[in-house]
Formats: sequence, C-alpha cells, structure tokens
Amino acid sequence: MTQSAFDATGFLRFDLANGSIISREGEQLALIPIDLLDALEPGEQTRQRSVAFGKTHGKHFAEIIAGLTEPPGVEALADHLAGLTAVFGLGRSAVEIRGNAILFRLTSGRELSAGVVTLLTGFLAGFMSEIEPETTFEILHMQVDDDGDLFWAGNPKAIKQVKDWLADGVKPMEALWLLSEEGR
Amino acid sequence: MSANIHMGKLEELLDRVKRNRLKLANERILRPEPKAPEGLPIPSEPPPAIEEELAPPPVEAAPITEPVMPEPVMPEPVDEEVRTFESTPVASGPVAQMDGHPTRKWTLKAVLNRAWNLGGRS
Repeated sequence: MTQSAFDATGFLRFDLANGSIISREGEQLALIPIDLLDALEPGEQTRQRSVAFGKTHGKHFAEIIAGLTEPPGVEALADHLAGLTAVFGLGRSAVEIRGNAILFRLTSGRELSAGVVTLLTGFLAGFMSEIEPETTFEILHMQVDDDGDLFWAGNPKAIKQVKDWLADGVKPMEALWLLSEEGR
Repeated sequence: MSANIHMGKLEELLDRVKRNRLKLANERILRPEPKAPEGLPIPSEPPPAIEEELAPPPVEAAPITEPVMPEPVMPEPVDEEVRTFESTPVASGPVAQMDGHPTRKWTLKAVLNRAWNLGGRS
C-alpha cells in the first residue's frame, strides 16, 4: 500500500440495543448539537482530555503509515486529518507549509468558541505527538481570517517565543518568519 | 213397537246433539276470542316474545382490524456505519505550499523534523 487516504467506512458503529455509538478506535461517542460543544470549558481538564483524544487517533494514523511500503508524504497527514475533522463534524481541514512551519487550517463556517479551540489544540497536539515518538508538539491557535482558523504546530520553546512576540503586537505570520530567521 | 224404538233413538240423538252444543258453548266461554283494545286493530300476528322486544337492535358489526400501533422511531440503519462521503468514503486533505517549495518531494518525516526544529529546541 502506497497511499494512506482516510477511509470513513465503519468509522462509527451504532449499537441501538445498548444505545451507544462506538468509533473505530473504540471510543464511546455522542451526537449532540454543536452549540453544546461551544459551551465546553476551555480549562486544563478539557485540554488534557483533548490531548488523550488526539493521541488515540494519532496512534492509529501512525500504525497506518507504518504499514506503507513507501514513506508517506505530508499529503497522508493532510488526508487523514481532513477525514477526522469531517467525520467529527468539526470542519474541513488542510495542511499549510510556510517555510519549515507546519500549520493546520480549519474551515468550519462558524466562529469557534474558546472551548472548541482548546479541544482542537489539544487534539492536534496529541495526534502529532504520536506520529513521531521523540516529538511533543504543542499547538498554537494563530489567527482567524476569512478562510478559517489557523493552528501552528511547534516545539514548546518555539511556541513560547511566538506567544511572547504576539503579546508584543507582532502579527502571527511575521512571528513565524522571525522564528525561521532566528534559526538561520 | 217399532215406532217406539225409533222415537227412543231419535231422543237419544237429540240428547247427543244438545250435549255437543253445550260442550261447544262451554268451550267458548272458557276460551274467549281475543279482543283488541278500543281503537286498536287486532294484531294479525302474535306479539313478539319479550326477549325479542328487549333485545337491542341489530348493529352491523364493525370489521375486525388489527390495532394500529405507532411505528417505533428508530434511526435508519446505514449498514451500521456512517458514510459521510457520497461517492467514495475517502477524504482528501489539501496541502497548501505557501512559499513555493515543492512539498511533494518531502516525506512526512522530513516535514515534521523541520517543523520540530523550527526556532531551536533549547
């Protein structure tokens, strides 16, 4: 197998007898209005559970790419994340590469609440950390524009540096450029 | 003599006729003919039995139908899985190269290593 496109077949199983919805990864899920998700508290507990949520799916993705006959490109990651965000009803995601930075753009057509942003940053951090075992990516919600929300994955030191620049008024993309210049 | 004999038989016959008439008259007295109340015609048929009068009028029986039970509301099973994608259940996520570098030549591992080392780690 040389491709690793996301396959939604069998992703959800409706157990009507027991009244439960089980994901392919064995998670118990619930279909609720997204307005309720907006009410999620953006605290540490939400972040930790979201990281665990992402790890579950990152581990599954790592198993998929480990079975490929050729080293996958970044398209494999883009495909899988797009499928996951779609089946979870969170939006349409894409991967953007800016220099050495990797970013994730989510287009949902709605304004993300602070709780949902915490969920997504935690999910992406957990997911990314399972792909490369020696990395512990952190995720920063960089900006919101007409094309959706932009999340950047970086190491903890870089994330802290960019946060400081943003607090000083530096624009998000300029902060990433500064970061790349510092590393030269 | 013979006239006496005939007279005796005749008297006997007359007595028998009298007794029969009396008997018939007695029978009429004991069983008078029914008389209708004034103004009402004599019913030509015997009145219906009391049971028949008390019996309710026959009602046309309603057709026996199965009780209508509401259909149980159940989610439509979709082969026990959600097929989000109509034509194919395969999603494709775009990769946008924002600065002109050809990402297709990079492996995922190389992209992640570069992203991880961005800005230094210490």
